[in-house]
Amino acid sequence: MPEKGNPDRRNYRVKKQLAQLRINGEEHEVAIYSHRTLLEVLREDIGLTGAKEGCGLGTCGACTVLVNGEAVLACLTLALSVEGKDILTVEGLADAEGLSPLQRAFLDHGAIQCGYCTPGMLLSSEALLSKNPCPDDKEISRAISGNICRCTGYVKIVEAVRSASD
Amino acid sequence: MLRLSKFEYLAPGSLEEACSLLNEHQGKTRLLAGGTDLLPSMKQGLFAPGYVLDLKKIDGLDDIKGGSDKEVKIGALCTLTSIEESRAVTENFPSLAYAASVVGAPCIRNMGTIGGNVALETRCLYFNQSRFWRNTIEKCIKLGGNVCHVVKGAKRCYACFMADTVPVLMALDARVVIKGINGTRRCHIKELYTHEGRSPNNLRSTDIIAEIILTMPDKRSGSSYKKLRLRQAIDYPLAGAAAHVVMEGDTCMDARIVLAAAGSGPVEVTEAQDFLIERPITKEVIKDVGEMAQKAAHPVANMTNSPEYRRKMAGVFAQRALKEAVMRARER
Repeated sequence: MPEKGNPDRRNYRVKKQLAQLRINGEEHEVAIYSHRTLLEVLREDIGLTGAKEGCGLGTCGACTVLVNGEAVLACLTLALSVEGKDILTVEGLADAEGLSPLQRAFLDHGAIQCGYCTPGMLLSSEALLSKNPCPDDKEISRAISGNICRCTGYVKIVEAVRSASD
Repeated sequence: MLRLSKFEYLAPGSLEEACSLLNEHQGKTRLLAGGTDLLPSMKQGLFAPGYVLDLKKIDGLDDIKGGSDKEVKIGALCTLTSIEESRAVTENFPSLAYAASVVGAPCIRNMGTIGGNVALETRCLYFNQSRFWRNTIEKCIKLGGNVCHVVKGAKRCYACFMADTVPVLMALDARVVIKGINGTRRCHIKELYTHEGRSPNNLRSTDIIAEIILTMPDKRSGSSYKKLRLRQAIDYPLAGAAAHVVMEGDTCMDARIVLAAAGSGPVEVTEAQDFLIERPITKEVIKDVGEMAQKAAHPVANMTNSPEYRRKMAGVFAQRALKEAVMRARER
């Protein structure tokens, strides 16, 4: 049942809280309001703008990040709820030596057009490959089924993931 | 960026603490499990709770206990992915594993929980919209107004109940363990639903679903779920059916058929259940069950597809589910 307004909003003040977030192996301490999503904090407080907002409602997958190795939607995750967990964004895929094999495969296969869905596609594929190193095309399609590409370059994305698998 | 309105975040470490916090902030708190249903609704301004109580920090709510040969206990905080992949579930209740696997997309299943699916809000074309969109029309019953834009002159809300796992759990006669301020109680999942769109379940504001218990299926039984959706990648059901049968040779000894997205709650096709008892399953019988399912389904114009089509599909999908359930019972 919908609640009308917020009856006790006048009676209390929501305060900022300190949160310790482990993002791409680095510890970050941020002071945030409890209603802020992981996506907002990543983009606006930490400055990692790789994860994108598409729909903001969980249907497009542009905000996909990995939390403890599982692909989740950062736009529907409260930042406070992932304290102490390992968060991986697209910025954490490459290392000092350069792009990850998966990123390299995306480039080589032209699996990037406008690029807006790419961080989500990469992380969904990364989660798949870490669990299933040799997926077939059906498994790849299923893994990226929540990531919408409006340039409709799915064929090349599937090819790229296949080539990056063992 | 689509933002949430302010609220206070509560993260209790135990069920007891959670219950007492719910009691303290009665009526002002929303429970957060996976967040895939609650947070989009809050972003659209459908709910504006003063407190959000996160259940994910409570230990022991995300286990699947399949040790005993009598029952499988599924913690309410188990993600749909963990149910889809659990051996205890896939081996004994393939229909449930399948239903979990067709909810949303992988990311949503990694977050969304079975408890959340059981307590899912109803949906409607005139409700699940942005504030801007909703402000262009009169406030509907679900939003606290007096009109229904779907059924003219309606006295109740007709929003549609679209959970995928609930028809299956009902067909399997699952029991639900609920923690409340007065202790723990158990009920059959069927008893949870009000079939009224505005408040689809009768859980109190201080109740927390803790566990779902499934009795091990009879050796001669089989179950199935079939779902119709617009996009195969990520969508709610437009129609769906779960079937569970106990077979003795070619004769059906017991049956349960439950429809998804056919009303404001999971719709049990009681006529077909009575009809099937001690009846040999033939092509004609399956067709008759399809017709009964079609009669029991009452979809209204609250989704993108026409109610006529969805009603017809309820029949088709009930037939398919029954056929598969019978086949699985024979294979066991």
